Amino acid sequence: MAMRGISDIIFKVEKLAVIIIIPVMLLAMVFDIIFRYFVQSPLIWAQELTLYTFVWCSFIGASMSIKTKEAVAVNLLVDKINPKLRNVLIVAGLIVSALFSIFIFYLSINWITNPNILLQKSITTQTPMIFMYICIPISLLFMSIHFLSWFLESLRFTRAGKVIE
Amino acid sequence: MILTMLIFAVVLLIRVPIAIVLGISGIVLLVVSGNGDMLINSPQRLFSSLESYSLLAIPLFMLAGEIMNTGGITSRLVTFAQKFVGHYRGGLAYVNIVANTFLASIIGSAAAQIAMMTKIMVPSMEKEGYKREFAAATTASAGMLGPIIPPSMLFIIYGATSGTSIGDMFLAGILPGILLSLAFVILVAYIGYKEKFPSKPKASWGERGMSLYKIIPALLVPGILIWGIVTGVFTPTESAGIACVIALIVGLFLYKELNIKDLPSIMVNTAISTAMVTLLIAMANIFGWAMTFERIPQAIAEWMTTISDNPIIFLILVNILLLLLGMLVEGIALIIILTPIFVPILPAYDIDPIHFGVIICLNVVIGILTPPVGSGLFLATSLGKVSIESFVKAVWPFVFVSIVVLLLVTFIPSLTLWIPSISK
Amino acid sequence: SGSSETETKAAGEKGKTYEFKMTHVTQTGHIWHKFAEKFAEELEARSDGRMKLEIYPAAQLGPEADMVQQLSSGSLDFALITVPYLSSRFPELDAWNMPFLFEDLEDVLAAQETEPAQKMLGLLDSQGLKGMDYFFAANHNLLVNGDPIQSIDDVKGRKIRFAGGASVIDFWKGLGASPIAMGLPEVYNAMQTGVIDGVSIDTNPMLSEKFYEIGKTYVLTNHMAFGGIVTASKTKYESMPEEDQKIIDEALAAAVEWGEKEIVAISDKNLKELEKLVDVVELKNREQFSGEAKKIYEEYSNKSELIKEFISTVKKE
Ligand code: NA
Ligand code: NA
Repeated sequence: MAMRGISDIIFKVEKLAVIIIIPVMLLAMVFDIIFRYFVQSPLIWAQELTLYTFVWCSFIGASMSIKTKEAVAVNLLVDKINPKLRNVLIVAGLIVSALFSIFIFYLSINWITNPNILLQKSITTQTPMIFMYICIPISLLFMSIHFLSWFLESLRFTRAGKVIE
Repeated sequence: MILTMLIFAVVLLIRVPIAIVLGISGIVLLVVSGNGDMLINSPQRLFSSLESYSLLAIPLFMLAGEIMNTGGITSRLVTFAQKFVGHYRGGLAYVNIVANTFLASIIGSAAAQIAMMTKIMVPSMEKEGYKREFAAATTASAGMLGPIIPPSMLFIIYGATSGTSIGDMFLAGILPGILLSLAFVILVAYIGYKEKFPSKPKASWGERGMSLYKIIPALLVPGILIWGIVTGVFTPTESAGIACVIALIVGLFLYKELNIKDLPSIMVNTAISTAMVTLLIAMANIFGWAMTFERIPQAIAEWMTTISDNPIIFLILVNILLLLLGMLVEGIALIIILTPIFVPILPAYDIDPIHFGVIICLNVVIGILTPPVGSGLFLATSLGKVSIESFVKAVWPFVFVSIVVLLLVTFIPSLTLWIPSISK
Repeated sequence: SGSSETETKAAGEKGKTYEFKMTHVTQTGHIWHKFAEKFAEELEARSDGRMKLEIYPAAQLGPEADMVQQLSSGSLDFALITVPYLSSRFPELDAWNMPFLFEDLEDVLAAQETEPAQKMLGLLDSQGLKGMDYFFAANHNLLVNGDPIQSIDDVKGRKIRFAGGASVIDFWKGLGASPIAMGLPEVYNAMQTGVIDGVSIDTNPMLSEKFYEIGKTYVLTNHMAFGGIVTASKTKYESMPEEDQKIIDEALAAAVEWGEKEIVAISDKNLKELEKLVDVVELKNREQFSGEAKKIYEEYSNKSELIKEFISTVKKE
């Protein structure tokens, strides 16, 4: 239950994040066009802002797609077998997915804590890349928690003898 | 490699999300090939696979689609088309293909085109009584025209990698593009006849006039897009951003069907549907990177060139290889890896590099629809909200006619070489 | 498997065998790829076949940020990385991007040998890299549509693509241009549709990426040196026995010597070929631009002692 609660709170944070990020992405692009054509004074930062808000939005959205169970998967086999085996396979798949995201999260922590990361800057605006890179460990942490919560939920379902949807 | 394929199949079948399946396979491939020390680089690879301006069109067209659907623009566009061609059996399916053909002369990437059109066409076709998976398959297949009819991102990359004139490549794509479009129209006519597609009673000229009047604000969206791209005021990517703004204005102030309160859920939907595709692209990148590092595609291609010195057999082998590799490796990466291997040996077979380029690119666009890995497949299934299995069932006739076109293009060189030759 | 080292004591031969991996951003038709192939050839010959080099062109293993990371973690052995990218990680390297600092390619090649230039190579150490040597491509010129650029007034309001570098963006923005940094593959389409009306580019990609198809006038501005640094993985290099390091150093020196002769030779050849394809014009008022460039030299000299030293050394020669 605790895991479910944490996962729900994280999902709220993620929603808030994308509600802020997407308008910023759109506005940066629109202002870029307006300033280039009508004001004739370029906005040097706009292109990079659009690009990196997109990357942020992609990885946060990726974690959200796990929470909403929308990530694309293949039902071909699990739809054809008996419910008991179906539950076992799905639960196994979920723990594999959870372990994978935890592993990549662990790798990304090793990566992001390397002191060289702090020396990297973006090409046009010279913004430290850490502000962009950090979206990887954050979204993978969130994704791991969503997967674990989903796994525990499915495990409860299986124990209660219900069929996982 | 065999162990990797086995693990790939097993985790895929136990309903692990495909993106995760690709990531796991990439990592397994690195470990079993003794490159475990490269795992540390995978987070950076994930990041930089999305750090590309050419992908920006995806979230923006998704956002534009969400706004247009919520704001009543899509429904009016569709009503308009119905009033004029709805009395033909399968009218909306033709509208879909024709609209995609025109769009292809503006947009250079299949992903951008599929993202944009799926959001608009699938809900409207479903409302008209078409099966969702057929609607998604028609849209995704017609989206293949994007990089075949010029301008084309794939031709640019092939031209640069092979030393072929990009201008000639563009010209060479025109006839194959038209042929592909015609083939889809014939296919839709056949399926429509067989499955008794919906048709409506003919609309009166009064109804048509009314729908035309209502459509005028909605036409601002495609109108301004085409104007902006043709005059060079903005790039196709930027046009997606502009489309969002116009759709917002039309939805909020002209049709008044859109409410400020709708916006947060539009953002959340956009983020999730974008991510479903981009996470796949990022994870497919890890898998492709592991394969490239092991030189797997290169090894296969090099082995192939030793088999036969007959150009026909060579081209058939190339097509088989590309269709197979295209199932697993995504578009641009495939061109970048294979072009430098094949192009130097073309003179030995007396094959024109322009002709060969169109063959490669046709294979690559077919590959975006074939399972298990394909950006077109992922876009159409996630945006069209259909399962992979039912989509694959619906799309295979389209893939089949595309292969027929591919064979025509392969064995009739003048289909590609005639237009470039008369323009000299 | 990736750059594995195995002891081979067969036939009484001592020493390890190496399978190095090297990557770069350009296509196989570019001089950088030919240089990498020459390096591979030299390595193999000088090590009696113990050292093999596999080359991954066209950023097949990822863009430059990834190359640097793969070098510092030791999964990649060598990469030829562009100076504009490296200057985003080592601000001192922006010295090479200074506008209108060099008259021609020979000036650039001479500047590589100077003390400040060698100090810059040493800076790469701090991020797990080993700066082995410079390998330049050519000087950048401007390919434009519309009016050819002849004076600083012609630059105002022009949308021009640059490879990057803080000083480059500052300089052209200062002249009233609209500098845009976009990836090389996007340039062709952007130029053809008029999203940009100019691109800063040397003669190699003008031909290898077919940019002559989309631009009208090639103005020989010679405004910036464009090149790369042959970068090795520091941990990998330092873990090798001294005699093997020596083989690598010598093989690289031979490849660079061959490559530099080649660059000078092809830059004339490229230009002659381009003259048949686009209008090639000289820049009339170069001194106007050089005058403006002094402001940038001053600004960046204040930011870094090494840039200051580099500019004054180059100016003296
Ligand atoms: Na197109
Ligand atoms: Na595929």
